[in-house]
Amino acid sequence: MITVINIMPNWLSYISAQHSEPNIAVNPADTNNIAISVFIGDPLGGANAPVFISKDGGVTWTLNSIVPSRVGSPLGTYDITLRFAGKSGNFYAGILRDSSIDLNVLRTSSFTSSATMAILEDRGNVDQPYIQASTMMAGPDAGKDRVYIGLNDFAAANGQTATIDQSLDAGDPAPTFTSVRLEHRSTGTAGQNGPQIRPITHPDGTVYAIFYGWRAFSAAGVVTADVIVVRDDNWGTGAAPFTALIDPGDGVVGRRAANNVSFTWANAPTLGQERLGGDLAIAVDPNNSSIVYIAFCDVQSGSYTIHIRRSQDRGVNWSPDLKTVTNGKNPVLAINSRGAVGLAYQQVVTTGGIQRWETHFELTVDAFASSTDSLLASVPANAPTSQYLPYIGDYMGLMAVGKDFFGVFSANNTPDQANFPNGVYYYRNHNFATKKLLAVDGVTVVAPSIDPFFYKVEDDVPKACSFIVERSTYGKDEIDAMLQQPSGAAIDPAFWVVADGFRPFDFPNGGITTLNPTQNQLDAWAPTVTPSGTVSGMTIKPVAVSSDDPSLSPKVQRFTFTYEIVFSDDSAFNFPSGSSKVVQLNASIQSASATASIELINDPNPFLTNGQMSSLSPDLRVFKVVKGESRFNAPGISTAGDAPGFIKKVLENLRTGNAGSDTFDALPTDENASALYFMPKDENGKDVYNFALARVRYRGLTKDAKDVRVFFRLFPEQSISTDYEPDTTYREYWDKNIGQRVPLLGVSKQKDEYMTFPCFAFKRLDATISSMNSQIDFMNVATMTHDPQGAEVVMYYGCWLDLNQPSQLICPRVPPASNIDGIFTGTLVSLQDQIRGKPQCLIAEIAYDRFEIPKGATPSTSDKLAQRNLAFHA
Amino acid sequence: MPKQIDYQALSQEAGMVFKGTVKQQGAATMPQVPVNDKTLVVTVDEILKAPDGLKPLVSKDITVQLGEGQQAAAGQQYIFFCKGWMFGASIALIAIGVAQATDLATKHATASVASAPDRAIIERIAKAETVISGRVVDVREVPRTGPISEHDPMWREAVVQADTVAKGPQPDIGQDKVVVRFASSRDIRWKNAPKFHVDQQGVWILGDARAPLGLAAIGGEPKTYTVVDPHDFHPAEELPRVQSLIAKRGGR
Repeated sequence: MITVINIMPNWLSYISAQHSEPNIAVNPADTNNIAISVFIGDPLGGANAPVFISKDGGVTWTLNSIVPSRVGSPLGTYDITLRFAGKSGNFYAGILRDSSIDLNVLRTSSFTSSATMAILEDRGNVDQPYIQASTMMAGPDAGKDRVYIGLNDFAAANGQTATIDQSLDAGDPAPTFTSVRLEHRSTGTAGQNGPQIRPITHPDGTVYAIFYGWRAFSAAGVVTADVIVVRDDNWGTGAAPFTALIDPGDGVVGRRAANNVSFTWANAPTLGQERLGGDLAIAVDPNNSSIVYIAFCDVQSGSYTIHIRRSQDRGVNWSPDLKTVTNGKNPVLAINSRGAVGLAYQQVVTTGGIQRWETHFELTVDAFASSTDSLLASVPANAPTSQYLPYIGDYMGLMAVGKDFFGVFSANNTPDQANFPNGVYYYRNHNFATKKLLAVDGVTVVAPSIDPFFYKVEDDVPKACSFIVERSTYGKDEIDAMLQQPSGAAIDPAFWVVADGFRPFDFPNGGITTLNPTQNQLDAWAPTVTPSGTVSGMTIKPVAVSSDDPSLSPKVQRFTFTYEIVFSDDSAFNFPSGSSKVVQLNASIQSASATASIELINDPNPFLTNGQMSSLSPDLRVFKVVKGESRFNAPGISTAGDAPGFIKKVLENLRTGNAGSDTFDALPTDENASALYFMPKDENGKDVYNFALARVRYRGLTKDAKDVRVFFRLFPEQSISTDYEPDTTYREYWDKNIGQRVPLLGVSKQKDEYMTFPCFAFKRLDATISSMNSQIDFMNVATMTHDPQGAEVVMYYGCWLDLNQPSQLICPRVPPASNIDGIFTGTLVSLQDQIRGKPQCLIAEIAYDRFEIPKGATPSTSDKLAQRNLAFHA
Repeated sequence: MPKQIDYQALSQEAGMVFKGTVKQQGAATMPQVPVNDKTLVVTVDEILKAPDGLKPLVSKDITVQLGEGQQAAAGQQYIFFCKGWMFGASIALIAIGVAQATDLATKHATASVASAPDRAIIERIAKAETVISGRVVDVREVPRTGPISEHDPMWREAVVQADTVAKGPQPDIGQDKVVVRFASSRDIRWKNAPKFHVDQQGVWILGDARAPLGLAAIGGEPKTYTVVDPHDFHPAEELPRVQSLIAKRGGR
């Protein structure tokens, strides 16, 4: 998954400037902390230059002016690169300071502080500092920061200017830096090395660096150079640092990974308004410091070309070109924890005579034998007009931390979604439809310019969608009743489709920009849901969208789309009475798809609702009472023996409308707010009793729903599936001849463990005397009488949750070899004992003789099942 | 709060000057801001100085971090002299000066803000050896003497025929000409450095013959001046304004 974000803050929407040459630092100890630098002055002309900071992994960005500069500096600093050391939390920068152009090595322990970064090193006559930093994780120097700045030191003797300034304890209050010369060969007529010196560290202490060893500089400005790689095996601590690699060709320190490359040093617009003068990059495999990749540029057949090469033996031997890119520059390399190599670069591509700057990110796991190429941006190369050089940068930035890649590039900021094939998010005011940038007032048009774009490439964030079904069944008589209503037969919500792994701009038509969309917007964004086959008189339509991130920030989030089903007539039920028809629903969005089933029933159809949170059904609730407490106008309980009579009275009162001020709806739905008691007494030492209530709904025009039963079962939450399995966890006894139908103990497949436990509104029978098949629970069977006007009616059911009654012995600890439902002999244990230590949920099941719940149904897919996760007071 | 407020110095240094009412102490308008008891949420009532693009801040809440010795009470209105700190979903500024928003203070602050742009040029004039208007009659290359770097200034020299001397003695090159060395490079370091071409007319504020900004003295003819500061060159039509600023300084 790729996320691209224009990081200019909304309050700086008025700015139109060339913010080029980006660099990025990600804290390897906390990838929420990211910093980006570009050429940008303090918006109020202050004495410090800003860096962009993020504390949420790159989702949101803020400018923080902490880099020492000068008052009124229009672009902050000259060259600047950034690094977090890691565990120390220290944030470092290497800059050429405005206006002295001196090297400053900077540090802060908090990149959100307002304090100006401390200057650790200050010296002149150098060029292009490129910083690396690491915190030592082990050994005698554990906790110390190592900092390495690659730079071109014009004060170096003999024109051997390629240098690393290093500090082996950069976190010290007054760290010392030593200069290590990397060039051991003559620089000939050039008299110096190129400005690009790039170090890279590995946690095992290996430090590599790459530089152009200039050998000649002609009057026409043509550079002839070797691409040199040097290595140190112990953090540069030895007596002769960075001398571990000897070139076998001439026996001199510094392996020539490429010989006699050439390019023109063109400090003028040369390619897409950008100057050229060499580009280098290096990356080491975090799993194996012997594997190193480099990128360098030279001119091939008149074209500026990027070359990628690899060494697998610590820089001793180098492959030929694994990949080349013509008219490309600013290559950056990084390798993630899986050994995948990320390469980003910018390339001028000419199509129909029009030049464009393309920014690419390629990912390979086989050394570029193959790769996935993601085009991050394709923008005009001739606009805006360059204000200065570099136009987009002499380099850009890329890091890998863990399996993710974090990068930054600069490009034309015209808000044209066609320019960003992998999507883009803007914080600065913009209009994608008119492709205009807007000022803070949201009206004034701002001229396009160059902005920094952060991007993140995340490994395996799959897109998926799933159904949550509110209504899995629809009865003909129910629909006929609804058709009599002014609102017609529109069932809203009928179901939801949840889309996971999406960002707002992954959706079509400009992406999801509001959670109060028009119908047209919703139709464009919502997953397509179609029934298998034609269903007469039935239509499906999205009606709402929500997100678990209501701010719609540019990160992966969960989108939930609500759908309604509308019956224009009852022609969908054109089959015999007493039968049903299953309709499969198919949802799809991009690469994700899901299926669910609904059933059309030509019979009475009582149902439960579950809501989006199917583990906390609004039609299934729990409550507790203490000894002597009256609820729902039922007299208080004196002893446990009164509990069945209490719940019976509660149900009677609810059914007749005599429950007093207590209502079903007033019972809390929040899991913690409805916490029960696992012990027989509450915190005040009072006897306490737990109960459950279920509300079953029914609508019919002409028919009643007779003998509608509700079974209540305790399930261990999360440890077993709530899928409807009548042979194991949803066992029941049903004698159709005598109309005896009760829930039984649920067992494992092997029948060696009791898994689920029924609860009743009637006193539990003594299973040492009678089989559980004989359990009576007459309050939980009732006829639901239809309303002649077709309105919905409800019926209440309930049970005593005697899970906190240690004296209620219900069954053996494990099922006996035979008679698993009793009559039991031997020791029995209580329900409390059976469920001790296991989080519980309660399932209510409509056991209606005229309907069979499909095997595998769950509370999230069936309106005959409801679930409530239970919380307990400590 | 200081008894004496240097409005000129504060308005010169502050990137934003505004009147605002303290809404809340110990709070911020952005989660990135580390909050302490000197962090304020302030409603912007009136802007005296700020980039034009930030004018919509009026009536918005922003964060202001007070410095040592500064105080502000909730519900009170102040004039805040601020430099920038954080810019994101909201704005956080650092106060370099705070004054109660009396009528007198507002008057001083407004006046000092208005005069700030001229002060930068007046400072350059004060350091200048001569100020001339004229026309570029020739531009010539200068051999590179320093290392090869993308920040190489790529010096060139503009020969300027002076027609007016606004300050200082007449140039004594013999033909009313001076040599002005300039950075022809388009590198970021020289982005704002003035660049000259033949027939260009303008006003030059010229320092002594030593190059400013710490650059090594570059050899050449006597009275070779170096211009890299954008305040040291103005279009020809700005001559009257420059002359008036010289006069403000007493002609010196």
